[in-house]
Amino acid sequence: MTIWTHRTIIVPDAVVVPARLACEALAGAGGSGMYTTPLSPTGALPATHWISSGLIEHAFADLLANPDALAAVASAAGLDPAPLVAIIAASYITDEPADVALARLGLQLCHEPFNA
Amino acid sequence: MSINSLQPTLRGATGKELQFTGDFHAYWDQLGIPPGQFAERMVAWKALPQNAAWIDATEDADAAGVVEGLWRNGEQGVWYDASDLSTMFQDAAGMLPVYMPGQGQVDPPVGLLLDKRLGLARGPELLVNGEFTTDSGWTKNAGWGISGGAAVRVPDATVSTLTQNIALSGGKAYVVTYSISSISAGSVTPRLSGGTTVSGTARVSAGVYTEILFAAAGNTRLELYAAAITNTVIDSISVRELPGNHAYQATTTSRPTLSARYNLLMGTDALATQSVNVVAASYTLCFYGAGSVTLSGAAAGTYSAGSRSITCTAGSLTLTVSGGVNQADLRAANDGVGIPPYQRVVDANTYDTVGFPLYLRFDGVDDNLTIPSSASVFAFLHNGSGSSVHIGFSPSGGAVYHTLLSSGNLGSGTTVGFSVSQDDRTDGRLLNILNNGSGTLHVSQAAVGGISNARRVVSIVNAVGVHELRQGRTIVSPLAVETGSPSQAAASYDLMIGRAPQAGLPLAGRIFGVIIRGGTRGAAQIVAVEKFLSAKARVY
Repeated sequence: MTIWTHRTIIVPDAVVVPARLACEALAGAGGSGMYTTPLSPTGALPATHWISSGLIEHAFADLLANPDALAAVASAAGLDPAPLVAIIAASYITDEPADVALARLGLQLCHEPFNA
Repeated sequence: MSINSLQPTLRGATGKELQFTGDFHAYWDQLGIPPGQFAERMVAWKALPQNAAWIDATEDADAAGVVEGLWRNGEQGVWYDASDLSTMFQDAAGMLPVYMPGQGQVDPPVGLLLDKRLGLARGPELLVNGEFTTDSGWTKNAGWGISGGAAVRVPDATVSTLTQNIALSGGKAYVVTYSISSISAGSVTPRLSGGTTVSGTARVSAGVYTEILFAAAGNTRLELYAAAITNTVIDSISVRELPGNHAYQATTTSRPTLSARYNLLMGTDALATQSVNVVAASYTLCFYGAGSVTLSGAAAGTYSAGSRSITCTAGSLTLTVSGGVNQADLRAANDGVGIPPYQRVVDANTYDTVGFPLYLRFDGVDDNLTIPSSASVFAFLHNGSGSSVHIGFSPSGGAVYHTLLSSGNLGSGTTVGFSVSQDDRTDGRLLNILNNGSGTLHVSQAAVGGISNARRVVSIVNAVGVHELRQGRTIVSPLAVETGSPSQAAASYDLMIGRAPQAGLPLAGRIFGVIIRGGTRGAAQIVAVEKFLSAKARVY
């Protein structure tokens, strides 16, 4: 049985591309397509951060919380663990709901309103 | 139909024989009641008085009948039903069915939402010799062979496949079932290949596996992909289409969750001091006991037992408990009609579900489901020039737009579109939105502006049931959008639920069901669909 747990993950814009690649490399299809919602302090583009929030497998959450374990898995997958550990260190990972985490960091979703 | 054939049921329901010597079928026709519903109605009569509730129940049954028949002439569309657990899976490949929320596990993610409008019957078998009874029908690449009624793969110097050409259509879902009787090394993966390869799950142990693969454009064959070291025996494999326009989400964090949670509080049988996040809206606070609750933060006041409306600002609401406070319930003020006034909540994962309608919860961040398109699927949602359509809403006075349905590339800088306020039936064909809040519905095109064009673009989006969480407002928006004949013949856009492809505009809210039908229909059908979805969401 898959055990799910909630995580809100906010990554700085500077590392969003490698963060996306890393998640897909580590988690496969379930980790693809992450960090596609832009954030900024004002809610206006350009994005300063990107967010994914929702359920992930508990085992993956454990990896995110344990740099040594993450490095070991990355090495086993043929990835250089150093950039991954750096991404994790630069990111904000919490079990809080997204709105709580955003308020804590002073960030807002960037909404692109269409003209109504 | 003979009345005598119904007598046992009638006796069971009423305890009496029914004496009627005329044309039974014609008699019920005259009353406007399908004879096939007669026995069920007699049971209902026995169990229920003929009061308003009974009338509502029978009308709901009639509405359900109308919904089931919406696509009987081959119309395109979808029917998603969050109350039907058999249509939802935790993963995108349909391997993990959802479970009932509130029973001690986290509300399950929904990675695959099946379209039930066609009954979920699988199509015919697409493979020849899927049981490997003869050494034929398959292309056996290095290491593969067929013998003894099985496909056998022995280790080889390189990866290799066992393949068979079959007819596949991009965007359609295929159920792949196969049996691995043994595997001592390596892995085997079912794939749809030719064009963009669609991979299933790599298996490393024996067992019978079923998963759903969505074909990509250009896929022409099924293959079993084996790693170089793979040593396995495959007993059988089957590939059958699962007709319908199913929606999925591969990214785990972007999957909506299935929930039935309405009460925002926890430990509600004997409430302790706690804080909850609320939005600027009215809530209903109800509790029993001799103690009191003092509100601070998003609202203020001290209350004793009873039920009252609380007006909150957005933020954290702290409930400080003094004395005994029991059966406490805090929920959006208009959160459903007729649902139980108290929902027992032990913790975030354990709560009452009986009587509380299930819904898909979209988190307003990144949750969405995608319906993969193809040459003909949802052509009615596109115009002749291939531009896209976006349907969403904004809360009253709000600047944040929430996506219900979106397709194509609604890119940054889009400046066209239009909005229609609730219950706007200006020309009798555009929009019909039921809304007990004051939200505004928006329909926008990315490339072609103007009301007339948009009305021409959209053939019909018939109904979407939504509860908007952040505003504490329930919106059931049966969208009755129809125009002339659709002209797009080769649309290849995906349709997204809950988010626009590029601009985001994520939905923070609940979806109880989605019904889309490509085709014209009468007012009676609209009313029935509205009633059906309203009953699902308990909004009237």
